Amino acid sequence: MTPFLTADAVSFEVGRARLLDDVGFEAERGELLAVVGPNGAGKSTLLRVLAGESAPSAGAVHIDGRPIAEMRAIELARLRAVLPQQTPTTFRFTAREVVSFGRMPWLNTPESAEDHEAIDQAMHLTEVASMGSQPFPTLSGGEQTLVSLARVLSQRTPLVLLDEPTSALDLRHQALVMDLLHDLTARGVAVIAVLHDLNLAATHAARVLLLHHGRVAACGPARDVLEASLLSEVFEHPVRVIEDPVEGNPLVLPERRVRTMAG
Amino acid sequence: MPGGGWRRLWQRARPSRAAGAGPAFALLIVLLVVAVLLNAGIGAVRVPPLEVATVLLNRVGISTGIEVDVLREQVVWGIRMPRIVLAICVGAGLGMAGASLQAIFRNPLAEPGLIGVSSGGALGAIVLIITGVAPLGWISLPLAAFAGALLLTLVVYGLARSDGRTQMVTLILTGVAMNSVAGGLIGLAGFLADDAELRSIVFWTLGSLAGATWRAVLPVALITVCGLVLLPRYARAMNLIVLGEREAFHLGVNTERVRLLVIVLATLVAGAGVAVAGIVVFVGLVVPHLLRIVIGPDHRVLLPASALGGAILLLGADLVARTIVVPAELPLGVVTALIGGPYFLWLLRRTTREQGGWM
Amino acid sequence: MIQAARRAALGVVALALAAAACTGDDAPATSLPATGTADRTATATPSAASTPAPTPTAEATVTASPTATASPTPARTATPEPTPTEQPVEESPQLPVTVTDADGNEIVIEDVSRLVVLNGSITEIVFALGLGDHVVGADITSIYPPEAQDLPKVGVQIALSAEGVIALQPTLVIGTTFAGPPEVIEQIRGTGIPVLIIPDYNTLEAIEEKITRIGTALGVPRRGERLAAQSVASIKEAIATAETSDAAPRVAFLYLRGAHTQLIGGDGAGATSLIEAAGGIDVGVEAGVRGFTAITPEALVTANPDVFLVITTGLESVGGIDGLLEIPGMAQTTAGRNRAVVDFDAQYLLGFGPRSGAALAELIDAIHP
Repeated sequence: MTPFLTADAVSFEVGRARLLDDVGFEAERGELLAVVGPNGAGKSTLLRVLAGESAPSAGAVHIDGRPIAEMRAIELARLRAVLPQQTPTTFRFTAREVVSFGRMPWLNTPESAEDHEAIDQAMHLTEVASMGSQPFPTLSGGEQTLVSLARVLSQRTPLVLLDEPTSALDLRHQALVMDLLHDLTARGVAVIAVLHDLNLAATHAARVLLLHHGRVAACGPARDVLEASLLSEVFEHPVRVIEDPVEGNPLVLPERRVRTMAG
Repeated sequence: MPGGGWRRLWQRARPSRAAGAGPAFALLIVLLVVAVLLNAGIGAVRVPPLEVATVLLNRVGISTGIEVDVLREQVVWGIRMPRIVLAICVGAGLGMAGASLQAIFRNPLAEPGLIGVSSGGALGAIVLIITGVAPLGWISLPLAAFAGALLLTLVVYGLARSDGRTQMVTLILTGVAMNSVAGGLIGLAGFLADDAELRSIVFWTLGSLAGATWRAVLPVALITVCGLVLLPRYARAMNLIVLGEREAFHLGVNTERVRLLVIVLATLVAGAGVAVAGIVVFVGLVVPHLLRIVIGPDHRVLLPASALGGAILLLGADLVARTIVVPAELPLGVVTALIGGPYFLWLLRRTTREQGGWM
Repeated sequence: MIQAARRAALGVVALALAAAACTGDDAPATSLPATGTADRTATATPSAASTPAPTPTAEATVTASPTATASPTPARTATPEPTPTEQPVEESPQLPVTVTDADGNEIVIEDVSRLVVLNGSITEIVFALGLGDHVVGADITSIYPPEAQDLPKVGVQIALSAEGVIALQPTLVIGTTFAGPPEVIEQIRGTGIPVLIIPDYNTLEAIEEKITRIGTALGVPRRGERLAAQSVASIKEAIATAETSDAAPRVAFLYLRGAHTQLIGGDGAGATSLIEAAGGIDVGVEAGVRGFTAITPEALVTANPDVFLVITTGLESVGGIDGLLEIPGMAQTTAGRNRAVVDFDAQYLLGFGPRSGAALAELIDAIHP
């Protein structure tokens, strides 16, 4: 059986800068793949290419065996949902309206019968049901992220791409979001999330893709990728990796730089 | 994105959203009817309401048995009605074009005038007036206005856009710059023009509905109706683009295609009016703003509402223009500028104070 | 924002300009202001502007006045000696008449009891023909005779309101080719009201045709012929006095509007036929100016006029003669050194009607020292 999403030798150049260089990997349905790496490694760029927003300079992305370059926007929208880092609108749509936009790809299809249920369920799962009538621009950054995530959930696609879904969230909501992503995988959705927090990746992701200068430094089970010497090199900072005494997954701890004061 | 906005309009009458949409629409329609009746009934020539009604009913084949003086019938049917239809077309076109352009530029300042529709349209028409060629007969002038409007809009859009984004400041500055260029060219045309041509140019740049005859109005009405029917088809896509261009694409909108189509359609409806009425400022800016405050940003509602609002505003402005200095009349562009300018300033202050920014 | 405010300002300025210029008190009656777009006024229609050599004027007009009559015209003061009576004039308008207008339309005029006149010069002639009582509305350039100022004003002749005109219930609307916009004229005609459009006659030579044409259209052809003959005679008489002088003063006709608008008139600007009939040389025409053009100081010094001919309100707008002489180039001319500035009321100087003989006589007096 072919993987649900494949990236084959994907490169992406802007001017002379090569932001992605020969990136190749696969993602299966029911799997949470975390994309990690230092700032500027090309994580967001990779997500744009996977979403079909930017055409790769070389290589190809296939979803469900079809090259996305040949798909229309509406077809793509029925296969994958995307959570960007932030949604900058100043137009005063209500939170519920924003969530309902997730149902647009299903307009005039049999699936549109599920619209109300999908919207209600998504808002319930992300705990934003109570702010349905509030204008989106008046919400806090974290609330906007949750509403946008509800929009992504209501889209009900077999592939979900998320760009740092937890960065604006407090501890409880980080856990809420990661649990939601687990739920998605349990229902057979392929989830690819760019995560800044290596420990969230280590705790929740089945597999981790480590990017470094636009190249794949490592890709595989968290335990194999999150290895002290590799991370120290990629992040240019010494790290320690220990084992979570409860869950058994790796935990990444940055070393304190030794500062020797005079005397 | 299929799904007609006008059909949606009635569905929205149910208290689904902000509950403001239904009553707001009812109010807009009532206001439009009132504005039409006032414009049909008021003017330098005194025509009793009953005779106005008789003339209108006779035209739709209903006889009231009341005799109407031929001159008064001519005034109502030959002068006032084409002018009313033109005011509705121009106002509705500018209103809906304004709302649409604001959506696809994701910028509440993208008034048709600002991005070059008005001055481009005027320039196109004036070039035709000066060169004196009319290769396609009566339709040449509206076509030239439309071509000028589209050309200048695309230039502004192209110049203001970089890296797939349209920066608000860049857009405004580009618009100001291109409008100056167009203004300079209009000035140059005025310099080269002879008397008769100059009179046409002056008439044009001030804006007026005085040129409304059935012959001039019908093509405009036809084009406007096309635009008013077609633009709402992109209302959902506009909603998504307003949310974010990336988000719109993620949700299945072919943003490049929609953007281009909406620019062409908006220019068509706004430019058609400009071709007959000259430069009428502020309608495209003020009307969608005001309505967004009342009924929210959903373009399925906002687009038809802006068309209604624009028509009402223009009927009102024209009523003022042609009755305030009877038996003469003021240029319409002067009236809309004098109403629109202060109103816009008030709106600017209000939104800045209450929301710290644009809606 | 900026743009919008600029537009609003432009609109108001343009309107004010249009209104100011069209009151006819300072702008040449035959031309338009350029509404804020450029510092210039329009040129007069070329056909009416072609001006032959100065003196033939007299011969051209003299031959055409054998039927002039004696009785004094009511609205004129500067009329020269009346010629002996040959035929009595009409007691009242003889109608209907059929005339051809400037656009080639045949127009049947059946009733002149309610007239709307769209041009100040025509208003003046209608009053001089003794039909002033019949005028029920006029444009804003209609300021002479004084009674005309109290008439309902239908606005600027280029931007008329169809309904405004119709509301006055005219039986005839008369205007020049300036009247518009064309759709409005079409609409007025659409209601069955005849609209007579005549050319914009703006030379001394054209006065006779202008007056007779208006007289004919109003059913008073003999009154028209008589008034035309009197007008021509007064012009001829004025010219005769000019011919006694050998001097040919160089005259610059200036359009002034505030400190930043100074234009010089040339061919077609309206004053040429007057200047030449007065025995002067129009330096604008000499310099090849068509219509009005902005004055460059150096061109002015090169042209070196002996006299500046200006419109009174225009002169006031630059602060009188002292203000005029502060404009670069003005003081360096002979006219400037001698403070030789002649100012006229616009309608009087450029109306090209019954008062033109008197105006010409005054002009001759003023420019021949």
